[in-house]
Amino acid sequence: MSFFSFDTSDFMPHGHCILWREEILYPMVISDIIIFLSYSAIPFALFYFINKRPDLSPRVKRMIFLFCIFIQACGFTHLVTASNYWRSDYQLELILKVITALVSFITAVVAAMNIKELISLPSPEQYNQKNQELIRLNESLEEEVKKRTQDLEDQRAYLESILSGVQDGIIEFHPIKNDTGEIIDLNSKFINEQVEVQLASGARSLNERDSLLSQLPETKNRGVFEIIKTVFETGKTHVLDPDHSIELGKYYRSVFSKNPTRESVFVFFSDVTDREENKLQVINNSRLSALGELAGGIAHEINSPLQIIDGSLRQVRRSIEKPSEDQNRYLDIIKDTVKKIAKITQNLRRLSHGDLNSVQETEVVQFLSEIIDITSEKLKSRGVTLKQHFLNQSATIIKTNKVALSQIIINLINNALDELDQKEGEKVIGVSFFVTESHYVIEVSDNGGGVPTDNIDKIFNPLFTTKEVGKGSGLGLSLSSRLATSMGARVFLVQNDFTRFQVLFPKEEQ
Amino acid sequence: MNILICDDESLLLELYESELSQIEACQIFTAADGLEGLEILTNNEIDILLTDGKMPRMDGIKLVNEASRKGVLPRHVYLITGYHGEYKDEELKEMGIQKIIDKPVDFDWLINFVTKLD
Repeated sequence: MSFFSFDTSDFMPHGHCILWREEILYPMVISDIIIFLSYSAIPFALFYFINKRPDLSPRVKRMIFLFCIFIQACGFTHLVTASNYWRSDYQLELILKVITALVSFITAVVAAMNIKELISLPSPEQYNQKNQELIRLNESLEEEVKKRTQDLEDQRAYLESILSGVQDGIIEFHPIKNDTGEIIDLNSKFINEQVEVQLASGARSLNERDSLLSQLPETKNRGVFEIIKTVFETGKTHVLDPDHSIELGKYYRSVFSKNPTRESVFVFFSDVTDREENKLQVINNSRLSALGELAGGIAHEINSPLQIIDGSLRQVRRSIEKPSEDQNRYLDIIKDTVKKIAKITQNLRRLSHGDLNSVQETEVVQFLSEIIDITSEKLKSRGVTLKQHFLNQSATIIKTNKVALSQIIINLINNALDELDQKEGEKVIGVSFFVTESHYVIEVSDNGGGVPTDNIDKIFNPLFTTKEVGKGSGLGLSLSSRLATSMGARVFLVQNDFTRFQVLFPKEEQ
Repeated sequence: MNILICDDESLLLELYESELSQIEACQIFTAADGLEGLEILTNNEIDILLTDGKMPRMDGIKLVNEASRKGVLPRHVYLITGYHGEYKDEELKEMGIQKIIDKPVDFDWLINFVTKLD
């Protein structure tokens, strides 16, 4: 017979022990049943609790689970005790009590081991307190966020008001790097509306986001790309003034400055073309006035001796009673040469006076002839044939500034000469004056190579030159164009069999 | 008719004198600068003044101004000059200079011009 397999059916039920006294029996039985029901309800409550508290640690959960088994076992013990008042199933009661004893022991040990954790389990008050604290923290955080947002908003408004007052265009350049980390190009982002304004009057514009080098290859040639790279590396601000963009046809004042918070460089730029052109104009004017003074000085120094030669010549003629044919011829040569020199000094003198701001009535053909006289020796020495076309216009008078116009014409002739120097074969420069329906036109033409189509847009830009280094300043056509504008005319290029630069005077302004 | 010629080139003075003396009934005075010229104007009744512009000691413009101030400026005053850059034609006319004659002047023209003056 094993330990649990004894038969107790013939034992006395427990009721006998209390002599079936009803006043003891029923309260005992009813109490046991109530204890059983209550002990059975507690695990449900605990399971519900565990379900609703996912935050509990697995250990606590396990302990509660043990407690459920323990209390349920206790419940069953009471139920069997109640039934054994009438029955005598002490075997079942024994088994249940042993199980209960084991489970309660394990539960007691585990509880002792986990007592610390159990103690740390917050009470509802503590929860409430923490909750209140959290709510307070949350509120103060929200307050802080609101304040910060307002600060940011204020900062934004502040920066915007500064930006709106800035007349410079601002572009942010982001580097495009290759595999080795070297900057090979730049991406641009337009920061303010002034970018469009400052670029607007240029020959063409930039596109945002596109590669800068593909749009403006000159950026590399002019060293601007290197400057931006250096600013990236050193973080030092760089000022470029004037920053002359041939491709945009403009002068800018550019300040390159590294962005302290991101990997980018800002360029602040403004159009200073007018200032630069005025500067060139001032230089040219002072050059003209120096030239004028020199011309005047030369005229004075030459004219008096010339007068003496002329006077002496008359004395010689008078003193020779019967001059031979040769004597006469040479005396005539002297007289003609004196006249020729006098004409040159007269033209020089004309160049030297007058300012650039007034207009004078000009007999154009006469005027052009004088200029041609000055340049004819130069043309001859460089093997150029000069052709003049002044069809029936010898009496035409137009209003010009003679100094400015002579500068323009001499400049155009010099340009033609430089162009023809590169040419083999017949070299021809034509100077013409003709009248169209709307304009008086002075034209200087040559049969040289002409202006390449790519350059036509640029030839009137200041500093643009195709001449070899040291030969052309790049000021010629730009200044000619400005001088023409200052007297209401303009310089225009026509290319056909000849390269023809025309100075057009509108008839209605005459 | 009394003519005063001022020029710092003595050779030129000699030539002017030789050429203009062909004109009938005229007496030629010459001066090498403005100061000499002013003295002659003060001491003689001169009808025509032909003066160079640039001269040492006193230039032609100053001579005209001084003579004008002293009330001895002749009826006819002409500036014969190689260059008068710093003065505008109008300014010179206001000073009493009736004509600016550019050097080198054609002597035939000059004789003819002076003869016609009364």
